[in-house]
Amino acid sequence: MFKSILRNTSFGLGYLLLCLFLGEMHPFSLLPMYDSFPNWAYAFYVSDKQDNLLPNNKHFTIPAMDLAHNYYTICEDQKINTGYERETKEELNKAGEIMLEKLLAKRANTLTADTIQLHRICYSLEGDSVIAHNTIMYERAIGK
Amino acid sequence: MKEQSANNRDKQTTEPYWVCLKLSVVFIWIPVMLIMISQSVACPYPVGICKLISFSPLYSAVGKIFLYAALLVSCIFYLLEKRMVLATLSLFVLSCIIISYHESNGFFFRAASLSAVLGAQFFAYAIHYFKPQFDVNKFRIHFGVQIIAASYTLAAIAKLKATGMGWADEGGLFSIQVMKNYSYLYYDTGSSSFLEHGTEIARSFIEHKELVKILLTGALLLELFCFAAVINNKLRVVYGFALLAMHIGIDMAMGIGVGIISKPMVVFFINPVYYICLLGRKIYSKFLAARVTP
Repeated sequence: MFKSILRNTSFGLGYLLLCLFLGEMHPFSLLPMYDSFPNWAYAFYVSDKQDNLLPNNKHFTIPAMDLAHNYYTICEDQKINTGYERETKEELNKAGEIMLEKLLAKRANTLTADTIQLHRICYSLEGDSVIAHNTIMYERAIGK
Repeated sequence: MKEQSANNRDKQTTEPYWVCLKLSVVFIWIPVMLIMISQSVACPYPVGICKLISFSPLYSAVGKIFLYAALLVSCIFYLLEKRMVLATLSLFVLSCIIISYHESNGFFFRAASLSAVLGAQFFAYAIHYFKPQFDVNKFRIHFGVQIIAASYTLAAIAKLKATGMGWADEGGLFSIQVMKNYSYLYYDTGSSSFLEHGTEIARSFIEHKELVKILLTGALLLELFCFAAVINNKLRVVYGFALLAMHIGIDMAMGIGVGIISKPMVVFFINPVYYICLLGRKIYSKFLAARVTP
């Protein structure tokens, strides 16, 4: 019985141990999805100068969720501490510039705005309400 | 009882079961690879294998032709069951390169299990190559099942490591994640109904903390004890449906869709294409074949 269980699980257990040992090195991963719930969460969107939303599906090839992942990678690379809106204006500006550059590299022809803005929304829980705080990270004029 | 168990085991080592599983794997894997290749522009934040080797030439105009050709040829060999050691190795290596390169662009699809199950199949065929008495018909599937089980267990370990036993108590703060995910849908589509729906769900998460705690505890236990699914075939299918229900629940509550992690799980734990084919054949033989026969 024990031998059979061991034979049926040893390959998976080996993979599990390698993941714990190697961490994030594809095809190994610790899968840290929703492993903690801090009292903040960021989301990012692009708008024109009048704050009219420019939907990602219509104008860009990068979805909003990937844009957020991109933000954390840039911040890690730039040694910027993230969370609880502790990032400085300059840090947000720098990260926003890189994010917009990537976004515009693969934009659709539908984008007609002269100037676009990248916004960060910070959600947090205050009492029993979810509060959203909007910050303009970066703004730039775009050629048509 | 023993006979029934043996029948169950036999069903999962038959050629039709394996062909349906392979078709499902390719059907899931190819679109993910194509999306990742199209989204990768350079390698600004190298991770994994991209830290060691530059794969940028593969992403040039000529390189992409080679990449697409390699994907196509590997898939054809894999589906036709030709030179399986090489075919599975090729699929595994291509998967690792494409996903690592994509991650090196700052995107995270959480697709580790997608490459790992191909690596598991390569492993099974490689052992069989050197040791012909090795039961490759069983382990080319069973190794993959173990990889999926390990992935879910890892996800549970990550939660316990980061937050401890109190992970399920954070139902209120979960509402922030709900708002974030529904705002992604709003930013992608421009449809404000997603924001309204997200606000409603977030509010009910705050109002029903105890229910959320029970659901989160259930999800955590399901993930933590996922290795139970590899011990018994029936339990694996039951576990597959339970995990699928969990993913659908997460999709409905959090609006993040049934992610990549769940797709190989459905294929390896349930293999729905096989059962759909069986059902189709039964319907055909019962109704249509009878009509055709004079």
